[in-house]
Amino acid sequence: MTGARTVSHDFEIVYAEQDVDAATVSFTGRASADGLGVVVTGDCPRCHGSTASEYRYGLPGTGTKGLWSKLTGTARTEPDPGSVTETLRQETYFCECGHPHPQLPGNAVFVGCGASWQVRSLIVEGAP
Amino acid sequence: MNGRDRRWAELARELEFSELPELRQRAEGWRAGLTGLSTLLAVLVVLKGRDDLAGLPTAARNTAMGLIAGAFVLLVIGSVLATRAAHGSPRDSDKQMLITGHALRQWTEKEVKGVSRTLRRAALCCLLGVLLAGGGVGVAWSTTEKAKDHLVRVGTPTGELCGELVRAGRGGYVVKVEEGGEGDAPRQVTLPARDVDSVAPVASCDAPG
Ligand SMILES: [Zn+2]
Ligand SMILES: [Zn+2]
Repeated sequence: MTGARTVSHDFEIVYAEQDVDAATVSFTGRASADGLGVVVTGDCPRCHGSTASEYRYGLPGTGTKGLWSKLTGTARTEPDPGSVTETLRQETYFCECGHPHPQLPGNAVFVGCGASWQVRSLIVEGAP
Repeated sequence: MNGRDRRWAELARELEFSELPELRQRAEGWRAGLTGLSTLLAVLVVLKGRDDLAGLPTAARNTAMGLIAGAFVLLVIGSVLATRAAHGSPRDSDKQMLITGHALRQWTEKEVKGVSRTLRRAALCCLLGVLLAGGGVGVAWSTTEKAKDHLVRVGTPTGELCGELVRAGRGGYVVKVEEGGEGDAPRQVTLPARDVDSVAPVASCDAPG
């Protein structure tokens, strides 16, 4: 259950943008190495490669650092862990196994098999 | 829905690479907005500095100044709203969120509504401001007394009289004399020709000659 891979990464599976069911896969969210975001890891339900999606804290209007906070020196208000978990549960995830599967489009932002899914089981470290 | 979700997720991912240009753009927007405000202020100071308004009757002057002050306030509010709509409020910059595709999409939908609302208000403020400013200028213009020509200083045995020469002839001189009070109507004085010692054109009746 804790990420033990039962099926090996299928490198040959052809890139396809399709929704897959992720009911049997468990995902984990933890703070990114620099502490400025969250990385959600798990196994892709389609190609079974290990995938990691990183999301950063930021301000959609300004990029990731607040101009106002820079000017005034006020502390940025980080979202509480509960809302982070809620945000991560609502997200649609895309395969980022890192392996360029056959027919991967040249401009693809997410390098993987093209699969997308909603998480059913997600544990965010540090969240209640 | 898949393609659209993918696009939002891609946008969320790319957002971190546009950090600096976004910051600069926002700062630039506020700078431009504030420059516009300063220009507005300068225009107001120039208007206020002119003596035009001083020549108006009290009631008209107060009305005109009230309208122009109201216009200024509305235009300032409109400029701030427009700058906010175009570049976001600087206060929002404190609200951090985890930028996922879904969160970005929700934020954008909310922002679009907010920006349209703010823009509508800005447009309304600017429209009302221009109307008020036009009204103020109109009041000032329509009540400004035209500069008086034909001002003369008439010397009589009993003293001097200064005013607008209405006519002169066998019947004597008719001079329109302004009284001290601003609101008072000018008084027409008829001077028989035999009472007139001298008539001299003057530029103004203000300085006693
Ligand atoms: Zn995959
Ligand atoms: Zn893969």
